[in-house]
Amino acid sequence: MDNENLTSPALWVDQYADKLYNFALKKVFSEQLAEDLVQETFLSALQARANFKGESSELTWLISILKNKVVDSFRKEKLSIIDTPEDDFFKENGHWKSKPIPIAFEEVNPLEKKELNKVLAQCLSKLPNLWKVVFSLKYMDDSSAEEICAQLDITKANYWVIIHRSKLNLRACLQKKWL
Amino acid sequence: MGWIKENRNDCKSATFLIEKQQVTALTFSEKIKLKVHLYGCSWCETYGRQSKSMHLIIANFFNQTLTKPKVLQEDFKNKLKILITDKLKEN
Repeated sequence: MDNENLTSPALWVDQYADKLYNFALKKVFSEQLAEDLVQETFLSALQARANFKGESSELTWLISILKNKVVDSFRKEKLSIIDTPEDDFFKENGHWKSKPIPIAFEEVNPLEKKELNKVLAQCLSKLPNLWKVVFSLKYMDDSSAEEICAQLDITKANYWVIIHRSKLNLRACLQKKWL
Repeated sequence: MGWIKENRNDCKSATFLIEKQQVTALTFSEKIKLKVHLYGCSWCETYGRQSKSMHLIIANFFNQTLTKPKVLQEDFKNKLKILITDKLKEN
């Protein structure tokens, strides 16, 4: 048996897995991907264990590994900015294909609010992961456009395109499901 | 007057500017372009209103729904433990 001290990897899962999972979940928005990232983090940490000098807490060290994994997963997905088929909302001259129905996306009472959040979650989940991440950085971490672009290694122009297309997609999805 | 006509039809650019405007200041020419477009386009006006609502409900969603901590499934944790133990034996 290994030395049963705090740094024994056998205890990592009980001590850190949920913390890492929640950290990842806030960044990547997908439970499946967050699980994968936690697993990859532990595996990388096992290999890098010899280099860990204990200068920071073990959790801080693991989170720094996880952060790199998160950024890598965005980079892998970067193609999706360019590869997504041109949205279907406009004609060739740029005019709307169909009239946006002027419904209000606002909650009136607590019950509706809950329902609206449910619908919104469904609609958000259909977006490509990179787009979701942009939203989670923007809204959850209050990151500026500059910070988001730097962190995800995307250009400002791409950032606007992602926001624009995401909102168009969300609008269409909400119109369909909330009406 | 080709520019005006082109601009009037270009809801794609107008909606783009509506989104951009929410995060950063538009340039002078972008502002004019959007204003002139919105003057004659009720569809994009609708979009602009909905876009602002979406901004609010998304912010609300992220602040409320996603801050609840979640836990990993026990199955997954056990799988991870086995994986780590196996790797430790390899070394």
